[in-house]
Amino acid sequence: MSEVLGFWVAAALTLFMFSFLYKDNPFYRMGENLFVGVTIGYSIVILYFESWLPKVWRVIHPEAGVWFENREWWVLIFPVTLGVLVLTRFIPKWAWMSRWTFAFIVGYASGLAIPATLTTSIQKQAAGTVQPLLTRTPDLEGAEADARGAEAAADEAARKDPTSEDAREARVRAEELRQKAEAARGAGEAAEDAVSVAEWNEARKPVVAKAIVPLVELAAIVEAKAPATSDQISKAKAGQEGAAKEAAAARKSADDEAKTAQELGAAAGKARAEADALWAARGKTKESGDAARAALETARVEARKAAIAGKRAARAGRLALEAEKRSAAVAELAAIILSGAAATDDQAAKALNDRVAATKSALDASQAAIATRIGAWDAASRKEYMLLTFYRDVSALILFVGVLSVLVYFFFSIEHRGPVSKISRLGVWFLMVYFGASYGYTVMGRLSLLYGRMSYLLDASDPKQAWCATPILLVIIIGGLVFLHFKNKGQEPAA
Amino acid sequence: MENFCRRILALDRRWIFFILLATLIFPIACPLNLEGLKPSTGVKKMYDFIEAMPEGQSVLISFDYDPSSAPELQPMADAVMRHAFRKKLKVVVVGLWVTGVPLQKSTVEKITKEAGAKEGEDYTHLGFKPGNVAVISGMGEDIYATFPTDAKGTATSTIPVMKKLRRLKDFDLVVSISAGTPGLDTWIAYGADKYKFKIGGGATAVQSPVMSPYLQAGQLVGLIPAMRGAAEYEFLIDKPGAGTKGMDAISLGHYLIIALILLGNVAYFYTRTKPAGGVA
Repeated sequence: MSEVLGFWVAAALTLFMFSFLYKDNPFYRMGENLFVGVTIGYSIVILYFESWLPKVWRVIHPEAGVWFENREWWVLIFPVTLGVLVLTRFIPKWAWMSRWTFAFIVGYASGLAIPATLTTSIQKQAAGTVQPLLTRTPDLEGAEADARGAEAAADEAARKDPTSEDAREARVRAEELRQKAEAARGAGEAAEDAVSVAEWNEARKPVVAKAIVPLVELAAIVEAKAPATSDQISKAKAGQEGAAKEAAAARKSADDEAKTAQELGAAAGKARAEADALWAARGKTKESGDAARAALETARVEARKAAIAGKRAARAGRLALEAEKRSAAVAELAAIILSGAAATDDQAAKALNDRVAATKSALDASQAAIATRIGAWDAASRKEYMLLTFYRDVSALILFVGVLSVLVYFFFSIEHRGPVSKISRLGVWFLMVYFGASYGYTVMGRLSLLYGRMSYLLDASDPKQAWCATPILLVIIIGGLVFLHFKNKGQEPAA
Repeated sequence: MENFCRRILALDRRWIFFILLATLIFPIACPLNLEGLKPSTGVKKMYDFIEAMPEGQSVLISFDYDPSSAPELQPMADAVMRHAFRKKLKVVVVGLWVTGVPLQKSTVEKITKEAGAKEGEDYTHLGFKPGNVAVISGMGEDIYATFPTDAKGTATSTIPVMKKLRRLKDFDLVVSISAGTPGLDTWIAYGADKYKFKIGGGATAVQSPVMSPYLQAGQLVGLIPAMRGAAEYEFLIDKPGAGTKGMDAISLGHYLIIALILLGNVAYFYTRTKPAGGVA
């Protein structure tokens, strides 16, 4: 009953507040006054029990003790006196005494706030603003081009004099750039792999959720330990056939993937052998060096294709194994149901285990989908960090220019003319962008709050839970507003 | 066209309220399950930080809001507490807002029951203390003195979960779910920066732009902005809740607001150069 009453009161007060959207009215004013009164009353009660009783009263007069028995009571003299002085605001003649308390509060708060603000909002924020403006590293294509150029330069130097210091330095430089390009490519490939794994897991999630349904249903029939009905027998047959078909399809897909991976692996091996041979046999001419490098690149691409195909085959193999395992479990359960006899305790216990395992596998698939998607985002961030530093640089630059121009806008010790005026104008633009973003967030916040109340009002419409509080109250409030409209017609001042 | 534009500009604002209400109610009644939620950096950082905490580490969660901000902040408080209990962290709950006390109590009861957490061993609810900054400063020096007892009257120093948690820097993470002051910024200025502990949190939409610089400067380990952030966190812990449910309505509401802004601007600029008098 108290829950229903709570719904009615909360729904009524919410609707009272919303009635202001129509215009100011007695319902709104009642809600507003109640809100202020209840908030203050509630705060006073809490503060009395949390502050006055334990911090003051029980210190000077313990529950089972004697007045001023606690020797620390004198510590309270100063704060309690300051507190009492605030109350002199009610007596105009003595009201000036309350200023002592406010002076203390202002002094105390300033002493606390100024060092904290200096550290938190100025020192640390300034450190956060001053970031390296240029962190540019080459993107993948640039890194590869640099590495190729360095390789060619190293070859050229070696052709002239393989033992010279120049040739050695060129080789070291080429190796450094090759490693950089490798790292960039590695990050890109890792991101691709992570996305592919995430997509596979996301695709697998609904498949597993659907595939476990016959197993769960048949396990429930067996767990009931009763002779199967004709419906249940048909369900068992259908489930068994479906699971077998699914397992066969998964196995075929796995075999196909494995075959493709094998072929691509063989092609990659061949390409690598050819490239190695070309590299070993490359002469001192530029053309032979380029041809060997091109062959190595082709071999690398082929190897990557083979690696991707290998991973796909492995995943398909895992899916096939899961499907076969499920199919075997379904077949076992179907056999028990089709026998027509009631299941034994052991069979029921095993069915329960199968059902729990199947449900867990669906949950695991759901978790894996989320975890791998997060992994894909991480890998994408790492790739972005390595390859797209341009955006970081631009962000740092924008931040720097923004902070500087806004500071100039608020710096009034010099006249805002000429270049200073232009910079301060730019500062205004940055401020407007900030206000725009804040406005956007504010809209989101207000919509969230409105959604919260709407959602509550819908809950309060429930006939069982809240005895239709919202619609009934809505009718009453609208009726009241219509009544007031006609009653006050002609009395309202002209706009 | 001109007539239409003038009618738009002269439209009674109550029609907009009505359309907005209808737009928000529709997805509550018929969920659309819009997709495409991707955690933002602050939310992801917050999740990653808690996810990386080993079992048994401690987290202090401060409920710095009251019912007026609950639709935005309650989902994230639920999600963070669920995540903490799932990671088997030791959770201590406090609050700095007097009008938020019933919310703290109901949230602690709901989530601990759901997680099967044991009071005293896995978590404790210290309750509310008046004093705002003084409470944070006091906790930075001595929690047993600031909160001599928990919300149920048990001496704080005797609670098993509080045995090694004497001051704020003993916590591995402090989380403030904040609707204003005192809140996340108070915890950073008077707590984390002074007593040197890790802090993260959630903020209302209005507060989020103000809190973002703290995230960028590394003063926050993570930031959950508003209901959207709560929905993202719910996605990360794979436990859709009130935040996720609300996103359909919030998204539609935003589309409507954007459409109205565009419509208003088009109408304004179209009629600006034309003399009035098109509408009877």
